Amino acid sequence: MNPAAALPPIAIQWLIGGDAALAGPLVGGASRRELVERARSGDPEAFELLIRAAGDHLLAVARKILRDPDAAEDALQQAVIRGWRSLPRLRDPDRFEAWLYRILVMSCYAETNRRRRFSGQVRTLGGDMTTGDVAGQLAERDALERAFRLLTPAHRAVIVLHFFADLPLNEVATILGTSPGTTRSRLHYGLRALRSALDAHDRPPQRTPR
Amino acid sequence: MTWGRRNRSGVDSAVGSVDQRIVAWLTAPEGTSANAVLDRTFAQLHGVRQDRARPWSGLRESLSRPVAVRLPQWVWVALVLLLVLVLSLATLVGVDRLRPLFDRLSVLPAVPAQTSDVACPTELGAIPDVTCLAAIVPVRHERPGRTLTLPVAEFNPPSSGASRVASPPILVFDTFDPRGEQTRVDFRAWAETTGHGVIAIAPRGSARTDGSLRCLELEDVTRTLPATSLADDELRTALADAVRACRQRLARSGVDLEAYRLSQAAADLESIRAGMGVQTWIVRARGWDAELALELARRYPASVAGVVLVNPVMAADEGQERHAAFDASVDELSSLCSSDSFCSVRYRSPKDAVASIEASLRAGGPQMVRVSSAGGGESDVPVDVELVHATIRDAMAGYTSVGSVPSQLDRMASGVFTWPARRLMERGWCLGSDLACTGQNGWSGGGEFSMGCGVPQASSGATASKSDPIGLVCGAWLEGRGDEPTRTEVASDVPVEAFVGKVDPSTSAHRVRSALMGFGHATVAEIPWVPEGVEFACLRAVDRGWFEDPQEVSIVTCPSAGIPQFADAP
Repeated sequence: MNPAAALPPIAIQWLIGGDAALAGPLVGGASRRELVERARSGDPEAFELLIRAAGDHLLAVARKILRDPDAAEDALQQAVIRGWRSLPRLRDPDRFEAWLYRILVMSCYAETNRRRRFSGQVRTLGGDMTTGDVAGQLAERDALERAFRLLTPAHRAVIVLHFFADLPLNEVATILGTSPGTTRSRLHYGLRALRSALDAHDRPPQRTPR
Repeated sequence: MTWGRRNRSGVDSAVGSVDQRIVAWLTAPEGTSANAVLDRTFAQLHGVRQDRARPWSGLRESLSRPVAVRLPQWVWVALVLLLVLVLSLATLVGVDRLRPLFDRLSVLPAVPAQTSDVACPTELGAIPDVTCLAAIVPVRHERPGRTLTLPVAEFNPPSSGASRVASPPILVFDTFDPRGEQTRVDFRAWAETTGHGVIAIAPRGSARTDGSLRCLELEDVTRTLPATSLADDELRTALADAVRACRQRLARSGVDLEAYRLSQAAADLESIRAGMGVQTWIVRARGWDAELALELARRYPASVAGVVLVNPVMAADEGQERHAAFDASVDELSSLCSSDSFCSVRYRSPKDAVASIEASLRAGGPQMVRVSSAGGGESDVPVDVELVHATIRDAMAGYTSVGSVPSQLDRMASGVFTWPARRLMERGWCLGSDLACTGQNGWSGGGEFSMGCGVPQASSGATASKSDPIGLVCGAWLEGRGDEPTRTEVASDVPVEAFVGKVDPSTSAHRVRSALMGFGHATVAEIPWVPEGVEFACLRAVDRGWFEDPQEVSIVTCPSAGIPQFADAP
């Protein structure tokens, strides 16, 4: 049985509700901290509740980093298994989210290395493509996609965690185990590459002299 | 922190100028559900066990977090410059100091030596059950090429059917000097009484090894110069010159003097052990041989079942310590004398006698006394404080009876000196009684210097005492080469038992304990007199108990042999 399926929507909202909800109302009488503590002491249902609540978001983060749906699913799977195994080593339950992000990113790195030889050029198109200049949007996204793929996984992780997961840079640095300076530098170079790609895309094509 | 995006205005101040199109692309929802993959995952998760939390898990977690150190830029520059400076200085100054650190980690490879049966020398021929071998070992074990041949004698126990694994043989060092026949009879007796075989090996550099470093120059000095004190400048100069000349001649003739080290000698033994098919052995060493025995136990502990040191002479830390050991030994001797009815009446307290002679010598300078030489005849020798000390040290070093010490003092005080001065002179360039020169126990001068002078601090007494023979010869031998420590301070669990003479200034218990610092199972037994102070049979019993099980500390009460036998003094 999927435990999350039994949860009322408000409970799901609470589970993804963030810091303020840590001490808030409970699911079945348990706060999120308590769920983490129960999972840490070997309760698989508590762990599943926690993961189900964040699953979609984690999968999206993995897809953003890896740009490959299959690889992202594998990375998420690995992250969940590694997270379960190493959960007893988590000291501070309040750091569960950062800890899980770190495991996910590490799984993405591992997945990148594993698939390096076999990486196919799989394009993923998100968002609403029904309005505006569809062809132009496609070309623009294609340019960004290509530029993004040229970045290292570490650069991609910084950009995704900062923009998509909306984490402050210091938090990103903590998750990735790098210094704030390194994190800032990676963000800078990653964005510069994307900007260059957009600039190249926006520039009118030059005619080849006959 | 929250899962998913927070409702923030403006993406990030640090990237305010980023094209909104990039942000829009980056933050575009993926619109995918993880339910399917999570269903698969949790289906797999059953049966996956969680890792146990370790006490250091928290530490590892905290160490994995980055620590931001915010310092002004000039501080970083200064720190880098300081680091470069420290590394440069360490490289320039510390290389020699670091070498022992690496030395202790290195063990020379010991390839099994080739051994072949050879005819035993005449003096061994009369002893039954002796097998003589010639063992070929490389000059440098780390670079096999040129070789040395070392003589080996194996004294088999009467029932030699016993396996070597069950009763490890006893390894002893012997220079195979023809005059040491009695020693080998003792080896044979050990083999009979203990049931252990005895393997005697001549360390590299001794006179009967092929590659002996005989110093003819020193022997010439012995023949030509009259018996005199080492305080005599002419003798000191002649000795130092002879030592230098010997070293230069050997070096010119292509002898790799740097290979005559304790580390290489220990590798020889290990190589011979493997070549003879011996699994482990018990090392028994006397005097200066103790340095080699301990080197073997430190470097090849798996091959050494135990070590027995009798009267071990360890390198002195400094001249000061030698004097302190001497004073302590004289105190002990005085105490023995005062409790002996004959000694207390016949002789004054040795301590008072030494003090009295020292005072008179310091006040009036060296005085000439008549001495009898070993080769016959008499001559006048200038006696100074150092010579007095050297004489007493020699008398107390376990080779003469206790009573001879105060009697020597009596004679010196009255200007009559019967101690064989030539022997004293010979000790001037021999590092110890066991590693004596060619004139003593079969050691070659150069071999002895290379092995003995390499021991740390062996030469440090060169300036502490003008008449210090070790300082004199080692100072000349090591000139221009530098003293390279060869004693490796490595922790070892090889059991060691050391018998130390209480009144023997050469084998002070303090110095022996210091040398045994790295040995976790070491016992130092202080014995009033080795071996005369205790019945020899009893010491043998202690040895035997040790040979049977070196892990067990032998507790044996030995009856006194009636010391001090002052009444028997000449």
